[in-house]
Amino acid sequence: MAAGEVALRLAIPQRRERSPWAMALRQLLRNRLAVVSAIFVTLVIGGAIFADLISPYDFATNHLKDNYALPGSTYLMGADALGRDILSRTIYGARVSIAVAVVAATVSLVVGITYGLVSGYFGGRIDDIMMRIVDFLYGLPILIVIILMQVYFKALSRRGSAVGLVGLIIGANKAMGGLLFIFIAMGLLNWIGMARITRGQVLSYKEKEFIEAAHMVGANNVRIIFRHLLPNILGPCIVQETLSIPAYILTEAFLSFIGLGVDPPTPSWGIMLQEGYQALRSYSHVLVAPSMALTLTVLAFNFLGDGLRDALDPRLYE
Amino acid sequence: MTRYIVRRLLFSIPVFVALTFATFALMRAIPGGPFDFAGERGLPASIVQNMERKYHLDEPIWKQYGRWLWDLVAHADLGPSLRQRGRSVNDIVGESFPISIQLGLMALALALLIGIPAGTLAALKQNSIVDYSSTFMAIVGVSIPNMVLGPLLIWIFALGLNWLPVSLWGAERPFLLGFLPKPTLKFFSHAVLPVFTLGTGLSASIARLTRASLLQVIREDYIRTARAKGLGEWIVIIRHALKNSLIPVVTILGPMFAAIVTGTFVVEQIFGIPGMGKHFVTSIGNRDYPLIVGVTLIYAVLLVIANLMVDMTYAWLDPRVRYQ
Repeated sequence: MAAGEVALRLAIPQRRERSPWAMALRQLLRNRLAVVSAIFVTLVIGGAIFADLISPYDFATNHLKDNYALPGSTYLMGADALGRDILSRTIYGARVSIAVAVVAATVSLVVGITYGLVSGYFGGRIDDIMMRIVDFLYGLPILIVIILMQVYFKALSRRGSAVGLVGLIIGANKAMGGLLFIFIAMGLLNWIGMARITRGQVLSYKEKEFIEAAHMVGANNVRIIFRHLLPNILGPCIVQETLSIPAYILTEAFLSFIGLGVDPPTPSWGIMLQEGYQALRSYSHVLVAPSMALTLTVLAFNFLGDGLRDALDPRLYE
Repeated sequence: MTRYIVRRLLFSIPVFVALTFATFALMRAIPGGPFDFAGERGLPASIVQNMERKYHLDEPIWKQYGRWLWDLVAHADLGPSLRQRGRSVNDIVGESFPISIQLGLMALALALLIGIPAGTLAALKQNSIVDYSSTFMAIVGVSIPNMVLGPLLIWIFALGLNWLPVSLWGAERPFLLGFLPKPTLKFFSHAVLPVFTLGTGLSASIARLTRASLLQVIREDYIRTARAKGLGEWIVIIRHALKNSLIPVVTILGPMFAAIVTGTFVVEQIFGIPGMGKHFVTSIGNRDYPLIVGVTLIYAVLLVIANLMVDMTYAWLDPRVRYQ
C-alpha cells in the first residue's frame, strides 16, 4: 500500500499539537513589557533570597559617623539617619515584600478556591450558609480590621511573656521580624474575593456535559472536583491572584508606613519611606532607593498580571 | 427602591454592632491602658484607679459597651476622649472629619475628571498612539504608591520650584454646610499637591476600567442601531455608549472609597494635614478607647453608605437593574 499513503501524509502540512498552556506561554513571550517585567520580578525574588550574599553591608549595623552619607563609593545609595547602608536595606526589604506577596497570594488561593469549590459544587443549603458568611465578611471594612488586628498583635508581642501556643507564635513572629502577624492579618480576610470568583466559575462549569459524563462513568465527588473542575478554573483564578499581588505589597508598605508593619530594625520599603520623608528637605537622597524599589516592583507585577491575563484569554488571539 | 434602601441600612446595623463590639473588646484585651503614659512620668496607682472608675473602665466589657451604645443611640454622643483632656470624641471628629472629606472628595473629583475622558479617548482611538500612551500611563499611575508620589511632588513643586506650600491645610472655618471651605487661593494652593497625590492612582484605575468597558459596549448592537438611525457620533458615544460603560466603573467606586480612606492616612501624615486619619492612628497607640471606637464606626458607616450609593447608581445607569 505504502507509497501513495505516505505521499498523502507528507502533502498535508503537519499541524503541531499545542496545549493551551503552551499557547498561553507563546502569547506571553510575545508581550515585551510582560517579559521585561517577569525578568525584573525574578531579579527581585533572587535579591530577596540571596540578600545575605549580595548586599554590601548588614541591614541593621549603624555607622553613626556616616549618617545621611551621600551616595558614593562607600555607600552606593547613601546611608540613612543612623548611618545604615540604604542599598543593603533596600535589598533586604525585598524579602518582606516578596514574602508578603507569596504568602498572601498562596493563602488566598488555597483557602478561597477550596471554599468556593465546596460552596459551588455542593450547592443548596451548604452554599447558602457559606455564601451568607462571605457576604457578612464582605461587609466588614477589611483594612480597618487588618489595622485593629495588627495593633492587637503588636501589643501582645510587646508584652512577650506568654507561654504555650501563644508564646510560640509570638516567638516565631519575633524571629520573623513581625512578619508572621502581617501574614495572619492579611490572610484572614483576603480569600473572600477568590472564594466568590471560584464559586462563580464552578457554577458555570458544573452543568457542562463533561462533568455530567464524569458522573455517568461513576467518578466520585473528590475525583470530579480535583480532576475535572479544578484544572478548568485554576487559570482564571491564578490570573486574578497575580493581579492582586500589587495590592498585597502596597498593603504591607502602608502598614509599615503607619508603624503597624514589621518591627524595626527589619527593613521594609514602607518603613524606609516613612523614615525618609521626614528628612526630605535636607537629605532627599535617602528616598530614592526604596521609592524606586517599591514602585518598580509593583509596576512589574501589574504588567506581568496584565500580560498573563491577555495570554490566558483565548478570545484575544487566533 | 426606598424599601430596598431601608432594608439594606437595617441589614448593615448588625455589621456596625459586631464591628464596634469587636473593636471594644479587642482594644481592652490589649495590654496597657490609656493612663500608662508610656515613656512619660507615670501616675500613682491610686489616681489611675480613680480615673478608671470615673470612666467606668473597671466595669465588665459588656456593661461598658452597653453604656457606650446607649449614649450613642440616645444622645448621639461618642463619649469623652481619654487622652485629650476635656475634649469629647464628637469634638475631635467634628473638627477633623470635614478636612478629610474635603481632601477625599477633591481627589475623587480629580480622578473622575481625568480618568473618564482619558479612558474614553483611549477606547475611541483603540490601538493608536493615544491609546498606548494613555494605557501605559494608567498602569504607571496605578503603580506609584501615595507614599512615593507625595514626597516626590513636594520635592519637585514645593522644595525645588517653590511654587506651592510644602505642607498643612489652608481651609478657613467656618465651613459652609459643615464641610465646604471658602474657595480662597490659600486653600487651593495647599490642596493641589495632596489632592494630586491621592487622585493620581484613582484616576489611573478609572481610566483603565473605562477603556476596557467602553471597548466592549461600542461593539454592541444597540450602538449600531443608534448610529443607523442617524444620531450624531457624540450623542451615540456620550448618551448610549458611555452611560452603559460606566457601570463597571461605578463598581470600583466602592473599593475606591476604601482606598481613599487608606490614602488619607498616608497623605495626611506626609503633608501634615489635620484630618481624621491621624487621630485613628495615634488614638490606637494611646489606647484612647472611645476615640478608636468612634473613628472606626465612622469609617465603617462611610464604607457601607458608599457601597449602598454604588448599588443605587447601578439602577440609575442600567434600567435592567431593579431593586425591590
